[in-house]
Amino acid sequence: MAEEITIKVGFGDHFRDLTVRLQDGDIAPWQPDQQLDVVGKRLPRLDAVAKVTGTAKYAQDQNPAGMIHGRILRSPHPNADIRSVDLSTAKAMPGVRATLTVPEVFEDSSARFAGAEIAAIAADTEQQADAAMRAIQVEYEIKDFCVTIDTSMQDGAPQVGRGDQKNVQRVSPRSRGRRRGGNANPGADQQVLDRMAAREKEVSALLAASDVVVEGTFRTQVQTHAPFETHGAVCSWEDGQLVCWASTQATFGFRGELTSNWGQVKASECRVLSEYVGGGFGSKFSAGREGVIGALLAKQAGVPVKMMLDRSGEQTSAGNRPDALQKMRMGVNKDGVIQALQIRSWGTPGSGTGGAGAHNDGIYKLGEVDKVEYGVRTNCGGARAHRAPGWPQGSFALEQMMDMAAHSLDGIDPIEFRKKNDDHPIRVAEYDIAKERIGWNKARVRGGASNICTGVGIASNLWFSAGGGGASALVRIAKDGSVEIRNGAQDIGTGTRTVMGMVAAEELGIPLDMVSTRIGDTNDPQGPMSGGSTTIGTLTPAARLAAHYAKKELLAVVADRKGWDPTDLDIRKARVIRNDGSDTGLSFHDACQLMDDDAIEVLKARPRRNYAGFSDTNAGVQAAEVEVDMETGVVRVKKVVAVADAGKLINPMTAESQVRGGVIQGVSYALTERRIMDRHKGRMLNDDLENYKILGSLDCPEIDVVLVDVYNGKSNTQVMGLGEPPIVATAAAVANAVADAIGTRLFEIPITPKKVLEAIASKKAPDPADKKKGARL
Amino acid sequence: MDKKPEEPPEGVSRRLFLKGAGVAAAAVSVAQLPSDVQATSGAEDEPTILGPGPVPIQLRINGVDGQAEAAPSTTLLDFLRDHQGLTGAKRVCDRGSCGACTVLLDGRTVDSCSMLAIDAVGSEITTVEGIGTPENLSDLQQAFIEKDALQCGFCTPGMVVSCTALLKENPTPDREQIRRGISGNICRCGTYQNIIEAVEHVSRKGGK
Amino acid sequence: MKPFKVAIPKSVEQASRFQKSDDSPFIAGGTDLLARIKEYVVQPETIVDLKRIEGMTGITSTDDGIRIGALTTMNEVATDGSVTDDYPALSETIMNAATPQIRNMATIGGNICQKPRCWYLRHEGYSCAKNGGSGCWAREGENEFHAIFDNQVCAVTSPSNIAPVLVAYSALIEIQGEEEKRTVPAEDFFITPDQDPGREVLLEPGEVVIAVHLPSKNRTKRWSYTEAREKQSFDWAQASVTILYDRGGRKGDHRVVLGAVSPAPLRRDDLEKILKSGSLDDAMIKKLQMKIGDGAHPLSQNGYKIPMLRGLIAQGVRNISGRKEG
Repeated sequence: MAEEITIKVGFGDHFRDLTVRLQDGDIAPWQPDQQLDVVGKRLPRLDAVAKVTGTAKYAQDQNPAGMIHGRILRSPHPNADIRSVDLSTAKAMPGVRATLTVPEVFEDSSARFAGAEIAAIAADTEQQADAAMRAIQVEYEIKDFCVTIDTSMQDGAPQVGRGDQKNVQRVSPRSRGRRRGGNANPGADQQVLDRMAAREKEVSALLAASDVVVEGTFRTQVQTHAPFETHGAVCSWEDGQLVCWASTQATFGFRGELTSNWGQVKASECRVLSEYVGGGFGSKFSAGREGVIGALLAKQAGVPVKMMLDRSGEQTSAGNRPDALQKMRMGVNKDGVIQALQIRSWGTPGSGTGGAGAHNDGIYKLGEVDKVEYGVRTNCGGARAHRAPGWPQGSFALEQMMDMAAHSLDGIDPIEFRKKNDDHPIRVAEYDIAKERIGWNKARVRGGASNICTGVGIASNLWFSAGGGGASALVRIAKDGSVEIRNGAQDIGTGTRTVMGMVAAEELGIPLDMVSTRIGDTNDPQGPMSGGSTTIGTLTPAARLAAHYAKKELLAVVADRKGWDPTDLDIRKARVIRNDGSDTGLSFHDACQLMDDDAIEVLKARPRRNYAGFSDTNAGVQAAEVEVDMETGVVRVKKVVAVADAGKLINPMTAESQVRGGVIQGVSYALTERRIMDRHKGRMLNDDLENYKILGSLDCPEIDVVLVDVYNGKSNTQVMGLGEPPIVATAAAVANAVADAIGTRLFEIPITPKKVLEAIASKKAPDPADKKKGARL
Repeated sequence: MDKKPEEPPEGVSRRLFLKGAGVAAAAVSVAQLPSDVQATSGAEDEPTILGPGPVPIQLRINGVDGQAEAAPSTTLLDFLRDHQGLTGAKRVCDRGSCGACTVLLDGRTVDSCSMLAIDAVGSEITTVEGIGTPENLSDLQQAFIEKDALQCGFCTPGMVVSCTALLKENPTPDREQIRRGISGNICRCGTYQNIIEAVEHVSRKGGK
Repeated sequence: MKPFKVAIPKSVEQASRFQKSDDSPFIAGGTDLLARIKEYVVQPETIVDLKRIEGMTGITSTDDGIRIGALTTMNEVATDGSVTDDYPALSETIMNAATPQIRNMATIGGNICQKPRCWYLRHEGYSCAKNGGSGCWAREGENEFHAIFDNQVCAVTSPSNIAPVLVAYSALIEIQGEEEKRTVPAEDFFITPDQDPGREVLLEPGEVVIAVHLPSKNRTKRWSYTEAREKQSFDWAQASVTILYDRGGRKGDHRVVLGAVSPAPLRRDDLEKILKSGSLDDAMIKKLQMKIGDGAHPLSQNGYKIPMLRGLIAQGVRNISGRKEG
């Protein structure tokens, strides 16, 4: 029977009532006037001790008895068909215990990028595996290739794919009648084309009728995930059961791939263990070829196999954020209201076509939007979802268009312009926080003796991550007073484990240090992938419910033993209390001792749906301050203010870390990271961590995080995820700040000294003396 | 040399026994190792040749002697991880560009992936395991926990080692010095600011 | 890595003799060689470990300056009092280079002998003029970080931060072979591809760098080392300018050496001449900026190095005019 309740939802000065029909068995979300003992506190991570002492064991650290080493042979050619693979020499080499080829296992005889998997070896030592791998003979039929979207888009470009796969494929609006991976069926597509033409005409007319039209062409680069722990697993078969210590952000997804897609083992006979994971950032949802290869080699060899990628394999084959070429035209009226936006964009997700879109048509009210997106095949490693897929690319373009539009409207402040076109109920409050803390109106430095120019820029976030159904948690209260909460999902560094423990502790009425947590084991209850920033939104309601009902069972035991009314009892600060707040004289520990059984165990699933809530989406605003050396082109991001909201904040300290982490990756994306492909041989030239440049300590800005706690009401914990939102706006804010600093705009990232010097050289430099202090360009 | 070469262990003809003479002298450069390497074979005026097969290597790690048979081409990182079970130091780039494999050699930070295990003979090696344990955390490790100076944790052992060395050399570093001190350690998750705050916290308290 | 033997010579003579007969590479700190072995661009059967040869570390005063043992680590060199006092540009360039860990491991001898960073050279499968083949992949390829000067045969840039500063200080490289010792001025030690594309330094088979001498003559309190690069934490310079401004002013023996823009450090006596032409003011800076790009042949992607050099030399001159002759 669904209970109807009225709750307060909102934040700060913005609260309202909301009536909610609770789903079966669900409990009311925490309310602003409620005293919370654990939730909302800055508590250290539960796995921090293991990590700082180096005792945390990751997949890379596993060393089961008899373990041998796997190696993957990769194609040196960017585009080739595999005619034959001769393993005979390799098989005869010392220490070799298992071999396989990709054409056999994956039924794929094409190598569509330099780095594509061809064959694999397992041998006793790494050196033996390397030597044997290098002794594999492959006969290739080499084809011409394209490794950039520009070359792939040219007329007469070499075909990247196979069959009748065209290099350029429209991905949005979706073609009709299209075979998976193939080209559009022309007839069925005509309707779509007609609609597109009509839309283009309509929006073009709106643009023509606008007071001002701004246009720009923007380019973003391919970014690799570069998690510090590479992909892969240690795989071991015992009596037909497969155990994988995997580096994954989806324990159940990893298992699912080994069982359903590949089919050599049933789910009940496959266990994935992933207690500690050295980063994923979106690339580790699937087992990947390396996961399947590891399992197969282990089966063949009859001993455990460690199949983990080396850094080159990681950089070339384990995923990336696609690039984006975006052409945009925006029409605005003198009153500052956006009328229309026309977008054409292209990006490469590797030799496929899907997944390279840029989200450049959201966040603000953009009037009528005419958007067409194309996927461009290239002979490069395939894309995988990368922390806010599509958003940093789109934001880089859209946010600069916003600034350009504001500037073209006779000095309307870029923040005021955004406010005019934004109705997000949370972001309205965030602009002013960011503005004040970055010093939006302070005087800029313009040249002078040291030829440094400073600038400030702003951009917004949008995300939608309240989580969804499909998670369960198990809470076990033992007679000896020990408590454990279990879920099979993983913690890739986001703090999931700690947040889960905190929610359980809060609901049970005990401090966090009385709760132990067990994660990362598919033998435990179903948990979510660490993706879409949905993890704790999905998991915590289950954790809370499991704790709630476990507590109820415990209190029922107490009530029964003591002859008390169970509805008058609760637990708070590890004491059994009555509803009037008085202490019963029993501690939590005492209560547990009253059990007849060894333990109470409650397994509870999360409700299937979320409620309406205050807002379906998170917002966020970031402002960046940069310093540009006008003589060398070097850009330093001095400070980023990141205002972020994520529903109800369970642990502000780990939430802050998520924001800082996203900002640093965003600055890195803005300034230093890019995949560099060799035009001669189609190989990735910076398949390492030296020439692929990740932001270091000397480049890191000061990051000022302001967290907005929102009683969102969408679930019983009201949590929204915070993994992805903080990376959306950063590069855009930095780009806007650089434009503010140097008086000309960079349309391409990463913003390297080379690009800055070229931009400075090509602009007509205004006389610094003309600029009033603090005036915006 | 004056010393008579030791008899090689039975069944081994050209195996060489490599053992340092003890604690290295204070001013010894990391690059210069004690020359009292005892060889079981090899003429006086010829270089000692080790390998390519395994040789017994004895290193002093976290105050304790650890020995294993390993090829002389084994990096210090692989020796620690695969032959001594010390998996704190991680293999991330394996090229000396990320610092995840950082250990201390006579108190100085080194990328253990970029040196051979035999290069560490005669030196004191300190890994993260020697800096603190769950039962006995160093002040710096405690500060890391309190300031949330970690996320996925893969760079953390290297960071702990680098920060420990930094504080040993300079107990009261300023922000810029801390940044420099960890400039050889990349963090992909983005924990730099929290690490700097953790080190500052220790610096204020005067701990290590 | 493919397993290799490690030869441990007890003396330079032993090392030299062995290396000559075996053609095995020397290893000092190992930060360069091991990475190249891991990439399979070299596959030695044996490597020759120099670290146990006595007498190759330490910094001593001589009649004319200081002598730095080749196996002295970068960090030891950078923090040594005699270096920071009298050769501060050397300290500065070292502290800009690499990482604290690498500076603890890498030696000054290994640093000046290290192979270039060119990504074609450091990936298996690219035969070129530098590794026994012919041609240059970078010239018509990805050359954003390659040389703008002396790049017709091969477009690598000199990877060593230290090299241009040694040239500026008129350093002498002490070399020992099996029998003889010789000393080579740094300016001649670093060679260009025109001289021999297969080598970057003037070492014959079997020769070992045993020390670097820094003479007194170019010591000055008015020095500058400036570089620019994409990342401030562990990155390679895209361009650098070393200026030693002699107290003689218009009659002074100045030094201007460019780094990271050519296969060998590029001493610019034309710019040194300009420094003699007046005082260190904006007009001087403009003259230097106008000339610094002379002789450059930028490739398709690295023309930005010219304005970058202009910026660096301006900053260098301003640094110097801010320093007092003490």
